[in-house]
Amino acid sequence: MSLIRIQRGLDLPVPGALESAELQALPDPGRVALLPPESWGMKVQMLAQEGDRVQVGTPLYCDRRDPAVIYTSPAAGVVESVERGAKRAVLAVIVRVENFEEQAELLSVADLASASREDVLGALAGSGLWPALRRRPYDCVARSDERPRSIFVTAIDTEPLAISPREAVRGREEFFRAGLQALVKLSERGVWLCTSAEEDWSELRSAGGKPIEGVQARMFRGPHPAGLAGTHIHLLDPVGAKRCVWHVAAQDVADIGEFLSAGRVPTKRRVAVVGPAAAKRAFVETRRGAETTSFAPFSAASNVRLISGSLLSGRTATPGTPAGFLGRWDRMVTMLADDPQRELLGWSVPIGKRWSITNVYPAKFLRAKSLHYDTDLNGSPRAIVPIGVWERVMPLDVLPTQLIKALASDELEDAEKLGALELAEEDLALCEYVDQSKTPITAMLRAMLTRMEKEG
Amino acid sequence: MKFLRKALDKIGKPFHKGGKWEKFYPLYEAADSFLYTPGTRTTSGPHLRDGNDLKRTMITVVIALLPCTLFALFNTGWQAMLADSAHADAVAGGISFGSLMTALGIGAWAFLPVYAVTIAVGGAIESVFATVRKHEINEGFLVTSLLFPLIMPPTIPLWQVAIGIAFGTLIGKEIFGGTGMNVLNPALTGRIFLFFAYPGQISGGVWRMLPSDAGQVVDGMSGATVLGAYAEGVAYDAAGLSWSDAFLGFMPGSMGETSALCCLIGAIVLIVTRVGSWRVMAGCVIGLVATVLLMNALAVNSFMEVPWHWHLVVGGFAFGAVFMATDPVSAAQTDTGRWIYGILIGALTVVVRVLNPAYPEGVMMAIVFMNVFAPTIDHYVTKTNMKRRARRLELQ
Repeated sequence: MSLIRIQRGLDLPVPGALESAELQALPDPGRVALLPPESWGMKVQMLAQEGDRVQVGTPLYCDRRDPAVIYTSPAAGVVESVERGAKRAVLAVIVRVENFEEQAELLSVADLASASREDVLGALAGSGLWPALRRRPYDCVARSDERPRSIFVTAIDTEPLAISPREAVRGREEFFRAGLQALVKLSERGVWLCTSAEEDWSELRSAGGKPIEGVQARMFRGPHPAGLAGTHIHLLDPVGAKRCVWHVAAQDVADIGEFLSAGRVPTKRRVAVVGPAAAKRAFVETRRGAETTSFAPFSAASNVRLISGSLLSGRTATPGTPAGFLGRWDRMVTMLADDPQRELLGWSVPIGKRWSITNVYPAKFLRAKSLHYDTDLNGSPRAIVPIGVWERVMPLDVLPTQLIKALASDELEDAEKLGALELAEEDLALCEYVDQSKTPITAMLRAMLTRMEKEG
Repeated sequence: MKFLRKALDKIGKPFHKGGKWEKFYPLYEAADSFLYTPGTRTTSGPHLRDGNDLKRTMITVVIALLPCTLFALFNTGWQAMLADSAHADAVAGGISFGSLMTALGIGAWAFLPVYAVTIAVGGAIESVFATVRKHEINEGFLVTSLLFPLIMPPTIPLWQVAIGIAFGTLIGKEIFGGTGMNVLNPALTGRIFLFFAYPGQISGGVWRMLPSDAGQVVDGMSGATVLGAYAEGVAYDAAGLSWSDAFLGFMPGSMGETSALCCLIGAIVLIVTRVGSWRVMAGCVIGLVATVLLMNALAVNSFMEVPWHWHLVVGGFAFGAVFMATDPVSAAQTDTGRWIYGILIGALTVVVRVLNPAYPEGVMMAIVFMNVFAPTIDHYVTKTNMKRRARRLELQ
């Protein structure tokens, strides 16, 4: 099993990590939802209406561009509302929960070991578990009419305050193995299992005493983004305009395995509730798409931003809004103070309780424990002045300054040659974090990817 | 302090969208964010952000420039005192508190008017462009406006300062689209413009005296800058200057650039805070030393024999390498490119200094020249990266 060291990158020294990995049960949420805007490029075709009675696995909607992939209800109950935004785009399909036991009749596979690629594909596409698979380039949901070169299982998480994916599949090892076997069938050249160098996953990639055929393991060591699928793909099987791979997180592999071997759609989801503004932190088991009001008791104050996902790549999920639900792929919920104050003459003297990758604040060394972490942009947008901080956090063979400038000036051809197709928002999140000009880099990347797809 | 915040918000109302003074929002924004951190929240992308912003980056460069600025005040006065018989007694007593204060006084009298004109003229141009272009006033001018006086000789006429900074800001920066888009370093552009337009006042060939109380000037003292003396065939060890004096900066020259020690302190501040590129600085030194060693080996005149440790401390090399070459916008913007860019600046400095004695101050020429070439360097580094990526995609 070979080890890959990542030299450049950054582990944010943010407080608020979990103290223990002990799994706690959370009361079941009253509402769950699917959020189409999360799946980039989605054109929603509704398959259920408001007021419909649904079961776990009942189709709610599909993507008009790939109608074989069905997005199904994660709970049994009633479709409470279909929230719409500008141009009537569907923002959320909300289900009022009655229970999580009633399962719809779904096509599964009789025997996973002998099942064909078509069997597995058909079962997954109809079950609602398919969107766990994402595709690079574009970081969209995998297309069912495509065969990826390989599938990357992301079993390492280096996002700030993340918990090890090993904890997310603890007790579900058998399902994880079944999931790996299924994924091998879907890909052209097999599966890469990407893990942390600190953990032993060898047991999880062997069935009956011998390694599962088609699964290659790679260990990663180093700072964030060592745990991002984009990093693994770049180093092991790079993608381009004519070549795609898929990636999937460890917990979703276990879900896929559970569905294909036990025949029921899993509805549970393990997430870490963390963050500098979390009064108590816990590793909890909740439900897929759970409303974020169920995490409110963890918040320390009223002015707290509740983020589904990490500080770097998460999404604001304010309870009570159409976005206030746990994201499809999110493995944590982060709490961050959302009450920036305007400080008098904050710029003029090198004091200030902020952390920076540069050393312009002596407080970083002198008062590391009393630093402020909140949603303050810590500046205002300015022209790009490349002082070399992007290069410090970019471990890939990508020239960040040139790529970001190509994005800023909307140079499609250059951006593609410089590697935009290999990246997703999360891969450039660190660049945006360290940027002193406060350029909206990840939004620019997504705008460019959208244009690239449109213009082919 | 709440009162001040409220007052600012009240004043600011007409400047916001729909207000009477909407067009002048950049001016209000500059004043407002000068007094208070903006307090904007993150809306897209990472929710938490790095504490550094452009204002603080630029202020850090200003802090790194402080030792040079203080020494500029002292040395300008001190050199004037050395040259003026009226101060013979004070100078003879060495540096005491009294003579230090006198020197600082004279130095301030020479430096501050130049600084004030720079701020007034350059600042006005910045504000006009920001208002017309509807973008914020960029903090880069904090640095440009301090760099520019520091690379002026103390006797520069103020109208030339005004023309110089106007040229530098307009041609060096604004015509390219403002901060972040400029090809040339604006302060250097202004300086080079003055060098060619008014060589008499700026070439550094003669140390011109500040008018003393007696209205008397140069009094038997060798009037040339060190590089000027080398160019005239004076051997480096016969120019009447010890290496340590040259390192500390006790010699004539442009106001801020004589002290290699102060530049070294600045370099340490820039490198430790990660604001300046150590690659560029190291490249400059490597390029200079290597080229000087080559010159030494092929020496046919006394200038070619000047050893590298002298080249490092005389003239404006240290200042240029630390504060001018590292300008992140006009320098190369790839890590590989930064090395090439730095090394070529060091090498070109020596070539201009030694082989073309008409321009004894080689470093400024070298930097502007490499500013022009930096995009080309980056272009090839970028092309190499693109090719490597394309090949990797084909191979697998």
